[in-house]
Amino acid sequence: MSALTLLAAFDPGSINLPKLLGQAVRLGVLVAFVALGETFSQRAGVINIGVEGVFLSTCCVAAVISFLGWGVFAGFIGAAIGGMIVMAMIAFVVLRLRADQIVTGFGINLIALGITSVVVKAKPALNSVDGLAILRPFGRNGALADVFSQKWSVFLIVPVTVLCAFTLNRTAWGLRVKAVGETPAAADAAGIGVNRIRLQAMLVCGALIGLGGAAFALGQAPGFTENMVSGRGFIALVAVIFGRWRPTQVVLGCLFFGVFEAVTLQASGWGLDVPSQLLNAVPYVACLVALSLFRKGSTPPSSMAIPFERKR
Amino acid sequence: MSATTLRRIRSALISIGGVAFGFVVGGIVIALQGKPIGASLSALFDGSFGSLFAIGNTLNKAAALLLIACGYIYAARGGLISIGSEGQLHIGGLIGAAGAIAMKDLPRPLPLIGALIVGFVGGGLWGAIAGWLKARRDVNVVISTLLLNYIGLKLVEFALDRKGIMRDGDAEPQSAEIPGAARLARLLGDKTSALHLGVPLALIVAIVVWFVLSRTIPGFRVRMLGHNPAMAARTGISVQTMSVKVMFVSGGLAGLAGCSIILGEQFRARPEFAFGFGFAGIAVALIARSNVLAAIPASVLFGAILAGGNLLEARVQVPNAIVSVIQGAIIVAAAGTAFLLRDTGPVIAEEPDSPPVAAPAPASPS
Repeated sequence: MSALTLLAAFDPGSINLPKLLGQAVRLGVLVAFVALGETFSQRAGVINIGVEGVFLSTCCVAAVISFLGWGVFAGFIGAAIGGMIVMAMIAFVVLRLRADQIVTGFGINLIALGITSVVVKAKPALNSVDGLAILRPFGRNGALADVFSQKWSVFLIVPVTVLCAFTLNRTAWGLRVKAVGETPAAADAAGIGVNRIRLQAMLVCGALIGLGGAAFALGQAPGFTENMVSGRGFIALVAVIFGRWRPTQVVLGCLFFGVFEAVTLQASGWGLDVPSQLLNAVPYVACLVALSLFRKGSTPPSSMAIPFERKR
Repeated sequence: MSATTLRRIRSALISIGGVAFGFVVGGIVIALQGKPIGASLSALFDGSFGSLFAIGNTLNKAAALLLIACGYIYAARGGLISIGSEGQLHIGGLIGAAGAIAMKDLPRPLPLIGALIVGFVGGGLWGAIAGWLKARRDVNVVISTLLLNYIGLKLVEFALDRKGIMRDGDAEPQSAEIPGAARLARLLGDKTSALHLGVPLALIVAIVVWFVLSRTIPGFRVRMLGHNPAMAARTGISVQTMSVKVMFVSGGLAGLAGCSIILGEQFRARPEFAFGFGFAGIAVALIARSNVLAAIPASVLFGAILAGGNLLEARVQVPNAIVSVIQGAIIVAAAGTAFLLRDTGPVIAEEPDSPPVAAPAPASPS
């Protein structure tokens, strides 16, 4: 199979740009909630590799709540609380026990994968639950409708992003988060409880991941299947780096990856005869290329992954 | 007893405690499903050590895990936290299988040796990508190896779905069968146990890795890179080249693990043929606290959990996924108890014949 035969059937006219963008937004926003959460955690100096596992468990919580018939709003709130509980457990291990953050996150991912798989095997009916309603601000037809006819959870990202950016950049608490992430010793000397702020940032992170989990399990699927997240948590991790730890840019980074995922899903309809396995790898390759190309001006918080210990 | 011995005993006890914690968490999850704990434990044991056949399964899995753990440790000693073994082992296994099939007409034992070499190189090159990205583009190795895992698994799936050397005539995407000359021989005969040559080979490789890291100049350079890259650079080591080399060896060891699974157990390459093994191997390295010799018993333990997990599912209907719960809990416990070891201070700071160290200061309340 040469590149020529690959392109021979390619029909650019069959690309439906509004539909593509609509799907990109849908897929990008799922990750965006999670990436915003991870931004808080990392800004406070805690790299949360467990993001994948927390994401997966909150998806499961949201699906279970909807399955029980408690409604989708309860699903969102329950997933947010569930995310905070898991993050509180991680916080105990990495803040109080000063454990290695990467190792801990890695273990959390395995535990979450195991427990959620056990849950879904016990209740296979979780794979289909009540989902969210679609909002159609631009009616049913036309390009704008194709882009913006989305589950309402997608629109939630706008106020959430604004709120996150405002909190981080314009409030005293946001300043403290950044202080404990950059120079914990100085923050400590100034009377800020370093691990307290880190815990709070991690709880915010958990709640935001929970929103992402609910948006995924109720808005996208709707339902829970084994390992449904399959690496999207890690994509969020990349988006944080790509977005240079700034909420707005992080969300834009997620949308950028959403475009690649949407292309992956739609390319077969364009007459492009690319094997599906290669297409599925495209978002990950895009992440890797993006990371290696756009490194300028991007420095992680200085105390990232370093447990805080007061000098005696 | 010297302080060093005491420290080692403490370290071992803490690891055992972590393993116990993992089983307790696993037991709770089993109990929550309303399944009998006693029967589950006995199924886990029967499936891992209950017969020669079970022991063979356990050790075969342990061999692959040990190789992966060695790869992780090699990179970790060089300061590179690579969690890319999952991708490396699948790429290495695939290329090893391709090599075995391509070389099937050569006289024994060339097909086997050749397959192991190309498998090592294949996994190594996949690992070296992360090393290169770190060296030239300063991309975090944790992130790049994570992404390379997904890409690697998809590539393997892609290669096995093509016509040609990798695909048999059948509908399933899988390679042709591994020729007899390239298989790792069964040590106890086909009937008794699946125990294969990969087990002693892995043990030898582990000892070589331990020796290289702790007793040779190249190993010293790797450790210097890990401890103090600036110092390493001053002594004339090219940090960039070393990162690539270290990642090559690390990935190569994972590739060997893939070969051990395909040439010793499965005899065909299939997509995701060893799914989850890469992470389990890293777990072994983590609970061994990046000590190659400690990884040997740890790999047997994790091999036993993996081998027993299958019987657990068959006999008590507890989903196999419980295995990753136990593994994850053991990892978290290992991470969470590391401070107990740190607080005893470095061994070199102690008097040679000092009396046993008093109870270590508990973690300062923070």
